[in-house]
Amino acid sequence: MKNLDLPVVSFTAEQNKFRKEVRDFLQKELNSGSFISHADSWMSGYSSEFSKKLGQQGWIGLTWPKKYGGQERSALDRYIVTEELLAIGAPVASHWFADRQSGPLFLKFGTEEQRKFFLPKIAKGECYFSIGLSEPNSGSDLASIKTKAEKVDGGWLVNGMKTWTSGAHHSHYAITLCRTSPPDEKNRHAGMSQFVLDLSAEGVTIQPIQFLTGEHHFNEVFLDNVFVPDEHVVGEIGNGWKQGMEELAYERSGPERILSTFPLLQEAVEYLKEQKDINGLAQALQLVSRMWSLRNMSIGVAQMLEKGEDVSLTASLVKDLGTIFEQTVAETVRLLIDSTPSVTSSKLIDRLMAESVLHGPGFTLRGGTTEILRGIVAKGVLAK
Amino acid sequence: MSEMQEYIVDATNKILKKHVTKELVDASEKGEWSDQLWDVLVESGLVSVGIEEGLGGTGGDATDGFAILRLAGKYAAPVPIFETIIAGWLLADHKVETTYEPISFSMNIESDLNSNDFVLKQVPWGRHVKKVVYIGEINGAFKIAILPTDHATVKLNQNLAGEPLDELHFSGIELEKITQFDVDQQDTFNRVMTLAALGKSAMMAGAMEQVLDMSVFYAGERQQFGRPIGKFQAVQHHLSALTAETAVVLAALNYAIVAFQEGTIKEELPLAKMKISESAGKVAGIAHQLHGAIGMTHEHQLHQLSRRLWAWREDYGNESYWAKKLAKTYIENNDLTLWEFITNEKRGNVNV
Ligand SMILES: Cc1cc2nc3c(=O)[nH]c(=O)nc-3n(C[C@H](O)[C@H](O)[C@H](O)COP(=O)(O)OP(=O)(O)OC[C@H]3O[C@@H](n4cnc5c(N)ncnc54)[C@H](O)[C@@H]3O)c2cc1C
Repeated sequence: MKNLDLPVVSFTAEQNKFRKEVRDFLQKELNSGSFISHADSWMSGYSSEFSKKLGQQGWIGLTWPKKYGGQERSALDRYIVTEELLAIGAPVASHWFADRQSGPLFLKFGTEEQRKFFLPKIAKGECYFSIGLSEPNSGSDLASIKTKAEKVDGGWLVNGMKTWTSGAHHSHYAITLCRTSPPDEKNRHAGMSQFVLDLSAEGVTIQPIQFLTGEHHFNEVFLDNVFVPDEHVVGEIGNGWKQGMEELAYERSGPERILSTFPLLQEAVEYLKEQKDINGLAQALQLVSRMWSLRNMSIGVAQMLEKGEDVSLTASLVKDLGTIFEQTVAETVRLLIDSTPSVTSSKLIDRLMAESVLHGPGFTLRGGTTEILRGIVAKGVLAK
Repeated sequence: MSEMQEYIVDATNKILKKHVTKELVDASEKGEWSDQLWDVLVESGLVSVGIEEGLGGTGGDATDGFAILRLAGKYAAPVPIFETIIAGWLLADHKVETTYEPISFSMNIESDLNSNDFVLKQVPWGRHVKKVVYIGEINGAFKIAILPTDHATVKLNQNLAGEPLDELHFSGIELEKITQFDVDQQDTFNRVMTLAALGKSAMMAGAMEQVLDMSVFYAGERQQFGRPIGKFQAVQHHLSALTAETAVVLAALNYAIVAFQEGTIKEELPLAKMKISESAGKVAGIAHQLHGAIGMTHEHQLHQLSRRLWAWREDYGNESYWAKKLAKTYIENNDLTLWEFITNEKRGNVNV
């Protein structure tokens, strides 16, 4: 059996100072009313002004080379920024995917022109990306996608449809997975490629899908003879599946898989503390013990990712445990405090509770469902 | 892991793998003393790790001890290695030389020893140890003291796992004459709880690693409906859950041990012990489900680990104990928001 120990990371004094700098900045922004805290803010909190402010601070693309607008800081510094943003419930949805995975994708597989063109804009908080994977008939079984790209002079002609595309109505581009050669029953993962799809291009129609709260997060994206120039192919034609899978490690192990409901937990703990409710607080702190352990794990994975180690199994573990933890927060807190959850409530805890309950089911679906993740883990351990 | 620790882990692994058989654990439950195993552990210096050589110890530090205990838990080693190592550390704090005998320890914060005849309840491995390190009041003063068990009669008792948890009836001990040290009650209580809760956490982590291994093996071997049960998705999800719990337990354990090593351990202890005790129950339950009826038999080895997990999760504070304790200090003695508390690198604000 594979050793399941992950590295233990101690933040340096410098990193702690950096954390404080980020935290003070965010607190000031919150106090000045530049944003209000939301649960699940990395999916629902859109604010291009706020993203630009973060860009000015240099906190988007933090780890990227300076020549592309980055700061060449460590993955742990980035971890600090992202978890501080989530803990305070800041509106980070606009730039989230670009910072988390599209940028790194360009760095790993992109051309020099692509890096020079996209990365500085992303780092400024001005250029946003969506993820075009899912289709109406291809969810968990992603390899069955039908959207196809055909070679034409100077580029590719894309036809098909993507769905559940978070933020497509805010984003400038979507990294879109397409079939570039017909399905091969012997190798289901062959023949797919990644493209940078300009969401304002001719032939792209974006239609909102109303979220169950009535909000507008995700979309249907219809692609009708959309021309994508050759310069917008990411990596190699035919290598799309493998490239996409590498993105998943970033996608599955980060603090956003633990902290989506943290603003609620924090409010609840404050409340229980004020009430001097020892029993209630004890139950909440048991959640904290889970969260602390999960955070240790997630930071360990971040460290391994930076060293280029294989984390596909451990990233799946973090996402499985973390997203269930996020749901459990709402389920536990509702029994500890007196709340009438409502998304329109002026009482913070009621609103956070409502957001946490209503967004909750999505946590264990988006980015790979719990069932799929468990299959990956089981196959991983059985193979050893 | 230091080079020395790698060596220790390797040596311990080899010894335990060779000597700890299912039969040995069974025999121990029937009351037999595993003398051969004990002697090898003593000769290899594994029961005296973390004690300086000047006191007869093997050297190394407490983290080496926790690494040994993780393996002791993994193999369900039926000897008082946890008790001997920790009692040894407590004595070494007072420059008492190690004697390589099996010893136990017993913390008593409820009553005072004030006569020559007294009873110590629930002494781990009481029947087999030569001495008990007593932590508690003697004639009104808080002490660490050495009680020789040749003055005691034993009323046998055991924990959920069939490990000895005996009642010792001492008589004719002259309390003034035994080796004893005046100690600060709170500091000593904290030190014992820290060492013991970490040690048991390490043992639980090891036991969970073993349960996961056994479950993976069984899922590949046991056939139903013409194929290994590991081909069924529901069973795969059990395996995944076992892997996840074990990984998160190790993340909790390793962070707590590093905090201990750096001398800053405070709230990491309750946070880790809560998480590990919680996972212990989950892991035992899932592994039994996966094993079916064979896992419920005495013949199968699973119960040697699952019963230990159920026993150990209660030792030195279960989830509820630590949660309430942490809650109390969190209310009384803490100005941090929850986020500051979790990310607090310079610990020390919340003293548990
Ligand atoms: C809030 C939200 C945001 C999203 N944002 C995006 C986005 O930006 N871009 C994007 O491309 N996609 C996005 N998605 C889509 C997401 O990736 C899919 O929901 C996910 O991959 C599951 O696909 P599905 O919804 O079609 O469910 P299905 O695949 O139809 O699954 C339905 C149920 O069946 C189970 N199931 C399916 N196959 C198996 C199997 N082999 N074994 C066991 N169980 C199985 C699933 O686990 C699930 O419980 C988003 C989803 C949500 C909820």
